[in-house]
Amino acid sequence: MTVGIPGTGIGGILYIMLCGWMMVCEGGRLVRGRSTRLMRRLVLRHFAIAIGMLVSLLASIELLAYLAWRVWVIAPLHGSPTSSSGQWMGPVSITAIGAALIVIFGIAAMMNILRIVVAKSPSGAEARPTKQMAEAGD
Amino acid sequence: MASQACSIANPTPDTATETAAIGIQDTPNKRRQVPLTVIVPAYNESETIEDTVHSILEQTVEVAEVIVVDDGSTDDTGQKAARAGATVLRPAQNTGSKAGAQNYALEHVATAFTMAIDADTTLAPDAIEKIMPSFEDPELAAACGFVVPRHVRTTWERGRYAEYLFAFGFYKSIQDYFKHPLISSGCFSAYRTDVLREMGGWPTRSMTEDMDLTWSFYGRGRGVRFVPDAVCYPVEPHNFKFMSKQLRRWSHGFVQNIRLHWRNLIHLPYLRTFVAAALWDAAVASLVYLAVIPVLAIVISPLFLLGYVIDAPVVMIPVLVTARKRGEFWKAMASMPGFFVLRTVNAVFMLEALWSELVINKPLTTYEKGH
Repeated sequence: MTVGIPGTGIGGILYIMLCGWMMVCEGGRLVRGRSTRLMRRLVLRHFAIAIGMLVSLLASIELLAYLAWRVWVIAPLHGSPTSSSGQWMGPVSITAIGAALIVIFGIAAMMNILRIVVAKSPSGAEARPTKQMAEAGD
Repeated sequence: MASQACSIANPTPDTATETAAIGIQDTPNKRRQVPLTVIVPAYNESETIEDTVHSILEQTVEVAEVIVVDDGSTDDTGQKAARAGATVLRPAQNTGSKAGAQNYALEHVATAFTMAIDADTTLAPDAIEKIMPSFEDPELAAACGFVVPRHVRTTWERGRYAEYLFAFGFYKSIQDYFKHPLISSGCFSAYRTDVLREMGGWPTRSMTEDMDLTWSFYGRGRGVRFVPDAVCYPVEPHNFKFMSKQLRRWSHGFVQNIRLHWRNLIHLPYLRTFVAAALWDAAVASLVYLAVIPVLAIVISPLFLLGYVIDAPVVMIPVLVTARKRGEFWKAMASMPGFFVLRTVNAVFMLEALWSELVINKPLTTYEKGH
């Protein structure tokens, strides 16, 4: 998470994806002879962390889904949450990650549409602050 | 296209060999001198100011001057800073914000580089030596370091400690790899003085001057770097009262800066996605924590309360990896519950900020210190 901003959901998946993209970029730099040992270490370290995060994310979702299935599907059918019969619905983490990816690509697409539609401010100037904000600045 | 998409930051230059171009010189006492003035804005910081000044003066490199701006303190902050070896400036009246005090001192800076350090922040002995070589890049406007809370005792400090390890140990390095750290942290950042002056100094129009300045640099085509080896230690809010002031300021500042900069942000690759994802998480995750999970837990099953900690393993991996590198594995482990408490509390302030700033157009305009 970014400090002071709650949530690790979409941001977490985005940064995990970026670790994969860093590997691709660093591979390209390596081929062009522009990669350094320092950068390779950083990229590999982050990629390893990202893999660990992804695996633990999938495991957490599966565990929770399995727990929910035991409580809401199996228990009502057999009167006991410890019953092991019934049809397991399969890996739900793939669906969850897929949904997150759709949101990320949706956000990225929206940013690109905005980029095309909204012109950059001349000389990089920012928007005017609101009246109240300007007063605070004074 | 691929090469543009992969446009990434170069590694930080080697400290010993690549410092001549930024004017680092050997001095008779064998400590190299850097053309750097350190500005420390201070308001009633009597308890911490001496440690801060000492940590700057005892760096492995020598800075040109340490300026403490005693911004209308009612305690002996100024006297203590002067005794510790700093130049003390006193504005005629309180400037009203950290940025105001920093701008007051900026007029007195005569060096090529300026550093801003909070009055409650100490530096690792080699922090300045580590951060300065970044300015070998002539396009670089600012560089910031790794932040670790000085005290990790209360739940709030523990939550913040885990949050910093996560954000600086994982997110910020990725942002830096793609040349766009989200913020050059206000508690410890170095700037090119001429660029800082060109921007009009630190902006006073939002609650988070560091984010405003960083995004303004990007808007003007300037670069910002994150140097993980340069470490600083701020005092973080130790109780809810002070934490709430800080979270309120940060939440409002984030939303205010999106309002101010969105037109330029959407033209900056990577940064626009970082900010959009942060905004999405800020809104959606906050709603989930404060509304969806409690309702589902009451209406359907208490099992849904697991939603508060479902990502615990995901958060713990980067936190513990970074902590282990610092030799603080168990300290980080013990801090994880605080992280989830802080995150949930943070959601309240973020939703309030989104509502006030974007829906009812009632921005936060009063700067309140976090401690």
